[in-house]
Formats: sequence, C-alpha cells, structure tokens
Amino acid sequence: MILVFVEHRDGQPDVASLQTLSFARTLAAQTGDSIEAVAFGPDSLADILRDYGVSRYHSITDDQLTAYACEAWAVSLQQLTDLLRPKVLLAPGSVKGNEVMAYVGALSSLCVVTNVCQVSAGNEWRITRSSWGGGLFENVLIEQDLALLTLATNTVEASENAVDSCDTLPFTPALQTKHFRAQIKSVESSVDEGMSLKTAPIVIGGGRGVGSGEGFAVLEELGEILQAAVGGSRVTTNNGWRAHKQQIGLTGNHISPKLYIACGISGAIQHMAGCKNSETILVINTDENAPILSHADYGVIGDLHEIVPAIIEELKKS
Amino acid sequence: MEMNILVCIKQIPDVGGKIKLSDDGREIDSRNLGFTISPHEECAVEQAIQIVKAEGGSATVLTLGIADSENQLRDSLARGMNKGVLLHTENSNWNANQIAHAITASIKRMEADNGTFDLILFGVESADRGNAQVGVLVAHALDRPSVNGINGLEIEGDVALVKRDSDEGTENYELGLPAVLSVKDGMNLPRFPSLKGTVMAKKKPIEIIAVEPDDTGVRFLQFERTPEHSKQAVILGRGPEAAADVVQVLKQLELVR
Repeated sequence: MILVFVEHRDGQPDVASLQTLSFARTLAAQTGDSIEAVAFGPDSLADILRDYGVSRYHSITDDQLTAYACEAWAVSLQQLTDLLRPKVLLAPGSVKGNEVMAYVGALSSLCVVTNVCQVSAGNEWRITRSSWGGGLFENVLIEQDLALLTLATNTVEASENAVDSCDTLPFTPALQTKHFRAQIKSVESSVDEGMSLKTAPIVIGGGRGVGSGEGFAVLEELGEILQAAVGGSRVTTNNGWRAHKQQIGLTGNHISPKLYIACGISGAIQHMAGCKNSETILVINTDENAPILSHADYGVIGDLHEIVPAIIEELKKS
Repeated sequence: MEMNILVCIKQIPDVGGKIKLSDDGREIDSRNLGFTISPHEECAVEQAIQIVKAEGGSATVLTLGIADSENQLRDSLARGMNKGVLLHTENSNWNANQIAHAITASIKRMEADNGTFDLILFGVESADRGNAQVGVLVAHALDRPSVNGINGLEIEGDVALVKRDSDEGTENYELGLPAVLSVKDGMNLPRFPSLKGTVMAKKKPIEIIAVEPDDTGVRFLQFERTPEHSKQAVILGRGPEAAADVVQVLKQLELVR
C-alpha cells in the first residue's frame, strides 16, 4: 500500500498534494498497490480524495492539533505508519511536507529522500531526485523496508482518476505535551504589494549588469509600461539594490510567467532554478557567451542601460 | 542573556552557469572552481554574529567536509564568528542522516565540555544536495524544538520568537531555548569579511576532528544531467537598434498590441 500525506486549506487539498496523489497513482501502477491518504483534516476531504484515486482516508484527529506543530504531526504520521505498514509514505515537497517527513525519518531512524522526480520500483528501488536546485538529478537506492519520500513540486500535473468510494477512518494518535513545543501561535496573512512576481504574465529581472539600486529605475519604467513585475538576481538583493522579497532564484521566488526579460544576468544555475519555468525568456546581456543564452529564446547583445530605454521609446511610439 | 551559538555550514563548489561532472558521475568536477557556502547558511552566520553582538556570548561555526572546507570556516571567522570546528571527511558524498549523526555526536562532546548551545543554526537546505533535513534530525537527536526555514528570529530572555513564511502567510512560533533553527536566505543582509576580520581570523582556533560515515538505508549512486535545454537563443540584434525587434517579439507573444 502507498500512503500519501495530504495537506489542505479549509478542507481543499492544495495543488502540491493533488500532484502527489497523481504521482502515487503512477507508482501504484508499477507496484500493484492501493493508495490510501492521511490528513489532519475534516471527513469531507474523502469526496475529493476519491476523485484522485484514494480508497481509504485516515483522518487524524486530536483536540490539541488545531494549529500546526511539526513534531506532533510527525509522531501522528509515524504511529499511523507503524499500524498500517505501507511500502511508501509519500508527501508533497512543501515547507511543511519536507519538515514533517524529516521528523518522521528521525523518529523511525530511517532516511527520507526529498524532492523526488522518479521512482523505479523493481527488486531494488531506484529513486531519482532533484539536486542542485534542479540543475542535476541524483540517483539513490533505497535499502530500507519503508520508503519515505517527498515529491519535487510540479514534477507531474494533478489529474483526477476517481475510484468508486473512499472510506474515512478516524485515527487518534497518542501525543505528549512536548510534541507541541514548536507549534504555530498565530499566522499573519501576507499582503500583496503591487504586481506579484509569482503571478505577473511578464517579469523583468535585473542582475549584476544593472550596476546599482538606482539602475533599476529603467527596468521599473519598462515594468510600468508592460504591467510587468520587476525582480532581481541574488547579487542584486545581496548588494541591497533590491529587497530580498524580489529575488528570483533558488532561494527566492520561483517564477513561471509568459515572458521573462532577463537584463544583465549571466545565468548561474541558482538563478535558472527560479526562472526555468518561464514560457519564453528574452535576454539582454553584454556578453554573447553568457550561459543564460543557452536557456533563452531570444537575445539582444549590448548594455541594458542603452537597450531598455530604446525599447521604452519604441513602445511609446506604437 | 549571554548566548552560546553554533552555526553549521557546508562547503559547496561555486559552479556558476554549468555543472561539470566527474567521469563516474559521483562528484562535481571542481578542478577549476572556487568554493562557497549556501546562501541560507550565510544568513545563519550573519544572524549568529548579530545575536552575540547584542546579547554577548560566543558563536562557533562547524562544517563537515574535506580538508579544504577550512577555508569556509575561516571566511565565517573573518565575518565575526569566534571559533571553528572541522569534521574532516575524505569525500562529500554523505547523506543527510550520516551528516546529522556525525554533527550530533560532535555537539554532544562539545556541550559536555563547554555547556549547552542555546541556539544551533543551520541553513534550510544546502545549495548542492538540498536534502533539507539535517537541522530536524539534529534537533530530534538532541531532543530540542525546531523550525525549518525561518525568516525572522528574535531572542527574548530564554525564548526564541520565530517567523516563517509558508503558503498560509507568516507563521509565528515561540520556542524555549535551547532550540535548533534552520534559516532561509533573506532573513538578513550578510556582511562581507573585512580586511581586519580576515587578518584576525587567521589567529582564531579551528578544531579538526576526523569522522567516518555510518551505514544508512539510502545509498548514493551518481549524479545525472537533466535534459539540457540546449536552446540557443535567437539573437535579435546588438545595441539599441534591436529595440524594434524586441517590440515585435512582444507583439508576437500577444503581450502588447
């Protein structure tokens, strides 16, 4: 059996969890296993889980579990796993998914493989995981009876494949006070400031070539005309030219716009990790050998401080 | 209160735009590369320096890696950390559990001699393997509370006020010290080592301890290239004269009328 950990918000599973269920289905097809799900959620989740191929839903309930507490969640999952003995416990590679699974690994003295992209389940289980921020794959062999895995986000699309019914089975874990020593006290919802890097159809990124914080003014002007969000590489946030919130890259925002205009950015793999899902990439760079050009669709060779104003002029004309 | 802090960092090759692999695929070909630490860990080091400056105490930096990793310890010492510990290994192909076991054993020994670390900081994930687990594994082994990927930290007496961004918004935690936290890039703006700091760092102590990996349930095979985009961008032109072609592309993509 493959047990999938599902995260939800107000009883609606998040996209990463639905992707994880879809991934579990392809794995189940390899191994001939059934799929069961576990969540700290309401009974009503069963209806949606059924549409995604889940036949049994284990609903973990405990009065103290109203707010997220990593250790308590992990202890609950570990106790359920001990009881059900699945072959695989699979979770989304989200902030909480990775954190909880790391704890489950710690509790059961097993290894966890994070950011998994592919599983070949034969005599030996060979796992391909995303490494170097997506710049490399890493192949590992599982040599333990229970595979603890988290799925790299956007590895597969979330797709429905309904089964006839999904039973809800309540599970009450045995928890102690110390499992709640790191529990959420409150959550401040984030306020959107201007055009968001994550949702804007056009994103303009500036790198070392911008030269200074003031140098971004010309990118902002283009951004206003194109209604684009403006961000920067890690060099620009580290130098204080841009706020960290506007960083595009492995350790910043991961963007997926229709068009990404990369200005004065050489294309270190850490930067590409944050922008590789852009539909089209247009590069403005003085160096015609910049690595970013081998990831891009269009390039203009030259100084962004001459080229971007010329583009603005041209746009004003038309 | 005076804070005794440990920060754990990892040396990684500074790969730039393209990663070259060794013939067997088990190592990054780093012959022509410099080395650095992960951005997250740079912020952890900065945070430790700021806390010790404000509260007093001492900040130790630890790494597990090959002999050359000492350079990354010196870099952190030059920024203001007080002393270094190198857990010396023959190669860097250790998994998260192996790393956590060795670090935990070393922390227990240090604490037996010098007292408990009020705070142990990690980066949320290394820039190479990105296993994102070592902090949690060490926290569990030491039986201390932990939060992964924090964006804010304030010390109030013996409590750590922690902020973490997630899909829901900004989560607030209050953790009793001692605690283990892993830091996310952006929490602060890391300082660069000063010239004076670099000179002083040469005199700061670094303890070197040889460590061996233990057996675990996951075995590393090799790295593999991702399918290369191997795109070659269409060069629209050089200089400002290419502006009209850029606008043409925007029109083709139906992003402007």
